Amino acid sequence: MEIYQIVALGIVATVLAVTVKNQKQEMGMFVSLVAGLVIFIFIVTKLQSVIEILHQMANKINIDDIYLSTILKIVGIAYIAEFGAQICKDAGEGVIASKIEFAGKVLIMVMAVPILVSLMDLIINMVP
Amino acid sequence: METIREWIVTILSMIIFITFVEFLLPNNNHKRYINVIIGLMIMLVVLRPLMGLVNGGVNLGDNILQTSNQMEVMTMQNRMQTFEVANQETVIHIYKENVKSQMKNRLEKQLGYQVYDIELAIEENNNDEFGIIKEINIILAEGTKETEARDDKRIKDVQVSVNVNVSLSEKNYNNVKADSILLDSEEEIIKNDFSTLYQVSKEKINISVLKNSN
Repeated sequence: MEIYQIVALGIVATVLAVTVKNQKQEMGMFVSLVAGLVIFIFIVTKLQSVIEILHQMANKINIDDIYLSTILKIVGIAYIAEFGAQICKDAGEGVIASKIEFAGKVLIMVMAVPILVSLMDLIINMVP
Repeated sequence: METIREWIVTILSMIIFITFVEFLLPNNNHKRYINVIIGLMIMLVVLRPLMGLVNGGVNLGDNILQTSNQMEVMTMQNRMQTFEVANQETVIHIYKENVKSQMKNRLEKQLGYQVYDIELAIEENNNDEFGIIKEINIILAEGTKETEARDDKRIKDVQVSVNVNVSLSEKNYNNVKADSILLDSEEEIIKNDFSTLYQVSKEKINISVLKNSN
C-alpha cells in the first residue's frame, strides 16, 4: 500500500528535520522541502491516472470538454499555489507566501472570466 | 426528447464530477473562489438549452475559447508594450553614451581639450525625427592639453626661481586669462565643427569651462 510508503517517508523526514533543526535551521527547511516535493510527485502521478479516466468518462457521456478542463485547471492552480505558499511559510517567509496565494487567486480569476462572459452573454440575450 | 435527456445527463454528471473534485480542493481560502466559479458553471450548464433557442445553437465551448483567446492576446500585448518601453529606454541610453564618447574623443584627440562632461538632449519620441540631437552642453575642464604643457614648463621655471609664491600666483593668474581668451576664439571653432558634424544649429551648442577651485 502506498499510504504506508508516504507516511513512512513523512515520519522519517519529520524526525530528520526536527533533529537537524537544532544544529542548523536551514538544513531542516531543506529536508522538509525535499520531503514535500517527493510526496507531491509521488501522489501527482496517481492523480494523473484518475484525471485521465475522468476525461474518458466525460467523452463517453458527451459533456463539453471545456467544463471539465476548466475545473481541473482551477483545482490544479489552487493546489500548486497552496503547495508553494506552504513551503514559503514553513521557511518563515510569510510575505512571499501571501504573494504566491495572490497570484493563484488572480490566475483562478482569469480562468473564470470566459465563463462569466458567456454567462452574461446568455443572460443578456435571454432578457427581451 | 433526446435534447432533454442529454441536458439532464449533463447536469447530473457535472454535479457528480464537482462533488468528486471538491475532495481534491486544498483547505484554504481558494475554496471560496473555486466555489463561485463552480456555481457559475452549473448556471451555465442549466441554462444551456435556452442558449440554443435564443442564439440559434451557438456553441458554448467556442464562446469560452474565444474569450480566453482574446484575454491571452491582450496579456501578450501588454507584455510586449512593457518590453518595448524598456527596450527603447535602453536604446536611447546606449545611443546617448555612444554619441557622448564620440564627441569626447573628437574634442580630446583632435582639438586637444580636456572634457569634464557632455550633456545631450535628443528627440526621444518615436517619430520621424527620432534620435536627432536637439541640444549639446559641453563642459570643458580648465586645463586644456596645451596649457597643461605650458604648466609643466612653468613648474620647471618655478623650481629655479627664488620667489616661489609670488611667481606661482602671478603665473596662475596669467594662465586663467590666457585660457579665457583662448576659449573665446576657439569656441566658434568647436561650434562650427559640431554643428556641421551633428547638424545642430550653433545656438543650441553651449560650451562652458569648469574652473578649478585651487
